[in-house]
Amino acid sequence: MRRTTIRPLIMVAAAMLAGAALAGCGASLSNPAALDHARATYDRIKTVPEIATLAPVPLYEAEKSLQAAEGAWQQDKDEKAVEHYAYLVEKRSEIAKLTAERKAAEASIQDMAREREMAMLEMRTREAEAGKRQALESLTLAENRAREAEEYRLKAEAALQAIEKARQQQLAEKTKLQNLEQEMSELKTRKTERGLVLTLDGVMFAPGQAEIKPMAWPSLQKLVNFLKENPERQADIEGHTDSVGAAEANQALSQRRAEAVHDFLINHGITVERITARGMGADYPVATNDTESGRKLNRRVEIIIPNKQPAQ
Amino acid sequence: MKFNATLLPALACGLLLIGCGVSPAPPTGAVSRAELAVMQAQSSNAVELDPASLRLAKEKLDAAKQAMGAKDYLAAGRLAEQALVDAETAEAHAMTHTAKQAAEEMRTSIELLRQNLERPLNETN
Repeated sequence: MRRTTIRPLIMVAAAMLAGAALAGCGASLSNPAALDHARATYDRIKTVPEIATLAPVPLYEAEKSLQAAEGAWQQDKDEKAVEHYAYLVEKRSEIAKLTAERKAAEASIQDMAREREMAMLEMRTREAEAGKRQALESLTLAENRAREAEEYRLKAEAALQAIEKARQQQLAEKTKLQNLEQEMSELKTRKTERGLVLTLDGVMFAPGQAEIKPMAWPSLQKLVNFLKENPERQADIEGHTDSVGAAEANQALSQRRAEAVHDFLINHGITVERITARGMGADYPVATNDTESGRKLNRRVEIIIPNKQPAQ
Repeated sequence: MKFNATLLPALACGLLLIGCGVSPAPPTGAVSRAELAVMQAQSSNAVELDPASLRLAKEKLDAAKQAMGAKDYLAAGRLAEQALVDAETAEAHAMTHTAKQAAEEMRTSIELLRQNLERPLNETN
């Protein structure tokens, strides 16, 4: 309102009028304590940075009230108005301080909520890891047990297989033995103290001849088979005749009959060192030489398979 | 703008009237603001946490209403303004207390969590 264009006269008049107005309201001229106190309070909270940043609205309202209080004093010396505004300054300063504290607490709650979330996450992570480790441990344990069980199973299976194999072997040997025995039993054999004796009698040879008749071949083939199956066995071949004719002739004939069998065996793959052949003449008849049927039995070749130990 | 000499007495008279506190218009706005603030504070935990400020606010609000009835609008306005700040102070006390308490509870719960975390795992298992 004070402008340089206002004339000095008017200024003086205005000052006088203002003075009269103040006097009319009866104000004292000393600064009211309430105003000083309010200003001090405001100045104190204004310098607190947290209040300025966290509670700007109450701080501004406190400032406005302080300005009103100062205006009321400077312009009107209205102590009641000053006291009123000073009261507002005190209360709004307190509200500003409390608001700043509240905002700070709320901010710290937000920070702590994040912190707590992190801590809980870490907690859950740890629990999950512990659970995982436990699961892994039990898995490993289970795997170990499964492996052990598998090892036992394999061992048991191997044992069973060994037993089965042994049984099969036994069975095979038994079968083989049975087969051989059967084959030999098909031949006219008899067991003697010298060993197994197979007789090819007169049926196999014509009188005075050393040729083996074809009907004797199957029996000889069985003998070959037997010798092949039992490579450790030997065969001693002995030729015999009936008493008809000279002894020297019979000796030679019996020798040729033994050699005919010997040759048959050689021709069928039996090695020569396993076979002996000799003529025994007419000296060892098995039947009477008085009848043709008896002589037929005496015209024979005997093949002796000595018991295990080599012959002679 | 220039002041002219004939306007001056009128201006002086206006200043005089205001300065000496001739009753202003009824402060209905201030009274209703105060009433709202008091109601709000009464419904908060300010009732337990700052009963003194709340009582002051209520008393001043009643006084403001009485002054309104007596058409003492200046007093009514001031009482209403003071009732407002008293109610706001009570509520600020309550809210600050609540926030601080919540922060303290949060701090405690974090402390518990931390203790759990610092404990070796094989101990918790």
